[in-house]
Amino acid sequence: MKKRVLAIASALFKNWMRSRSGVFFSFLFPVMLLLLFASIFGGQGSSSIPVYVQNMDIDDQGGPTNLSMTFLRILNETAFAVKRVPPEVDGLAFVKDDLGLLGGTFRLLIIPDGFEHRLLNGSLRARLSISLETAQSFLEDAGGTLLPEQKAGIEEGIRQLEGAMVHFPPGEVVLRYLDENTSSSLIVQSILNNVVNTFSAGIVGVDSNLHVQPEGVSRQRLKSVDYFLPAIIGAFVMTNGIIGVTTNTTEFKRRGVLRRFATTPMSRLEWVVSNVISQTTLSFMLVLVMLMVGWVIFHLTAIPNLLALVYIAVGSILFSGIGLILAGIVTDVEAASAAGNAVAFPMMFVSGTFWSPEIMPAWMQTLGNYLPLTYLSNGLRSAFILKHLPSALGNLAVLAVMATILILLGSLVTKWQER
Amino acid sequence: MTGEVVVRVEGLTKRYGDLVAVDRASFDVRSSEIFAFLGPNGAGKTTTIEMLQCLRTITSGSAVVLGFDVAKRHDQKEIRKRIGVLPQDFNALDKLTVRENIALFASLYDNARDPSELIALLDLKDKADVRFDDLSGGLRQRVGIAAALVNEPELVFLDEPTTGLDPKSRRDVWEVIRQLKDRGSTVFLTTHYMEEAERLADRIAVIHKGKIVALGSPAELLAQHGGHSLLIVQNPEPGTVESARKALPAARHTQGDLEIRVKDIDEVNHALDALQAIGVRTGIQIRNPTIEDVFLTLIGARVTEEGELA
Repeated sequence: MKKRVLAIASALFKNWMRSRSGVFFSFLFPVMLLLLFASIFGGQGSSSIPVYVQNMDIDDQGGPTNLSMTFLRILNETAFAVKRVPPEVDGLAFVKDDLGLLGGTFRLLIIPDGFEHRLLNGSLRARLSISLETAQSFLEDAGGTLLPEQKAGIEEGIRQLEGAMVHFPPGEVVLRYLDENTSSSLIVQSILNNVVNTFSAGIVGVDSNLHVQPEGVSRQRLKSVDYFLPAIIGAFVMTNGIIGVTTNTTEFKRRGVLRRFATTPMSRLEWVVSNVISQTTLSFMLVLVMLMVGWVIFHLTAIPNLLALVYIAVGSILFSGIGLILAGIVTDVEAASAAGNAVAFPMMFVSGTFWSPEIMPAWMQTLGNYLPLTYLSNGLRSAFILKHLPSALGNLAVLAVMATILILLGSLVTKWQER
Repeated sequence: MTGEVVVRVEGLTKRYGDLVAVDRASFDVRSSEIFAFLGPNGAGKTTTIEMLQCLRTITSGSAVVLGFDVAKRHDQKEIRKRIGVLPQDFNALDKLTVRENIALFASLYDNARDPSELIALLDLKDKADVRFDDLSGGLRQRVGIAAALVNEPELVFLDEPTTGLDPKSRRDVWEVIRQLKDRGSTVFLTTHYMEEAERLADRIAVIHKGKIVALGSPAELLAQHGGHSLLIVQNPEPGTVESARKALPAARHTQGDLEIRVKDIDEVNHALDALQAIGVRTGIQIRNPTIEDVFLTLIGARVTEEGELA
């Protein structure tokens, strides 16, 4: 069996690699997309961006302070969907766990302890400063015309204001914003800054000492190519599997090659396994080519680990399964190609390959949750960039279950004997 | 020359709903013979051999190939190990070379011949490194025959091996098939070419609308269904036709020729004497019945080059 499987897998691989259109769609097209997206993509707007907020500003009764609650309310009323993180936990670990085994975008805003107190201090200091500057300016401009007792009174006032200012020392209030540096990071930070400015101007007053300090979750300094690369690899593992296997198998059926194989000792199972091995080899080559391009042109920093390679293999099995199912259902070669494209390309766009799913309408996000590419993309990102094992393993588990079901279905609809 | 039964088919039937593609076919194929299934397109030839190759299930009846029952899953594996198949319009992996394709088929068997040996046998040395999609139809068929022989099969199925080939390629393939027989292989051939069946086959089964309507050696079929020989006078003078008809009542004027049915040497001599008497001395030939005549007698129609009834 092993000899037959390897022989067929190798033959299928060679046959595909010698086809100009095969090489174009397997390698050149993904590289073109990588170049395109990594070069031009900056970020996207959003209608409802989930963000975790950990409010550390607790009052004497153990509840959140009024000002921090107001800030949260404003945050929630704008483009963000706020998810609370309890103040007593390690926020970073909490969010990673809460994102769960299936992953998601890491965004954590931390409201520091003393948020209200320091904001009010800053506000009062700003007001005192204005009064002081006004008094000093008045004394300077109109000092000559004032009566001595009037002048003395103002000078006494200035001294008292200066004395009061000592109780309100200068100081920044910093909101830490932790982000995994995705394609939407810049736009999310921009929206967050707008919210902070609105809050400062409306609630606290002018010259707010409130600022957002963005921080990357990963220790690596990631670039946009680091974000796109795993997703594009995932997307083309998918297209190669679905479109490649569908068109190849249908073409082999049309030309009688499959029936000829069926008259040899090769079994249906061996044929299916051969396809999977051929596709997996193709996918690994795609990874290699994409990494080379990423490293040489974009100085890529992300490095795939062993888990990423497992993802590629499971993804290849899964999408080969879909390809075999389509090829089993559709008999006409052109219709099979159309069916493969009709499944693959919408999946590519809805699964958040090229942008964060949050920028899509809610129904599309829901649809994306049922598509295997979503789990492959998320998982590959987790494995490539975040190195977040629970998230990566969670996606892998979902993919493995889907792959098992789909490859079994694909095997069942592959006809080795006609009734 | 031929001996034990390698294929035994009894009452083999294949139905698709109301359509009966193969209707209670019964026949044997013996070792080392070339057995031909002769019939027009849609007669049930391919359906029958695909059931024997375990590519299609059978509806009823039985078929035993090389001692194994085609209906039993375990037996199917044994059959597949032992047969060689050239399907109609053979195709291989089009971007692989001739050598790579033959090697690929060889790798599918536990015991296979050296691909180089087959390349030499099929006279494909010059084309060994040419991709399959760059080959002509005749060369493709030769690759297909090589692929069918990689496992040194006890029984080789050749389904319409020369359909669509030019005359030279067809003759080349015939030569290869004859060589197979000379090497002791059993060949099960399907064809709609009368000449092909007549030239190659030891025995012929004529199949029409799923039924075997005649079975025997070419000589037997000719004797039973071929009819009489014809003594033909080519392009006779108009007056000669009238005189001949008076002297020989069996004479017919067909397509410009004068045809006289003769069943033995006495009738030939009698006809020649009569023709000589009316002054016909040249343009005379005798045409013996062919399988085409057998087919015409049995089916009532001829088969076109494309395999359709006409």
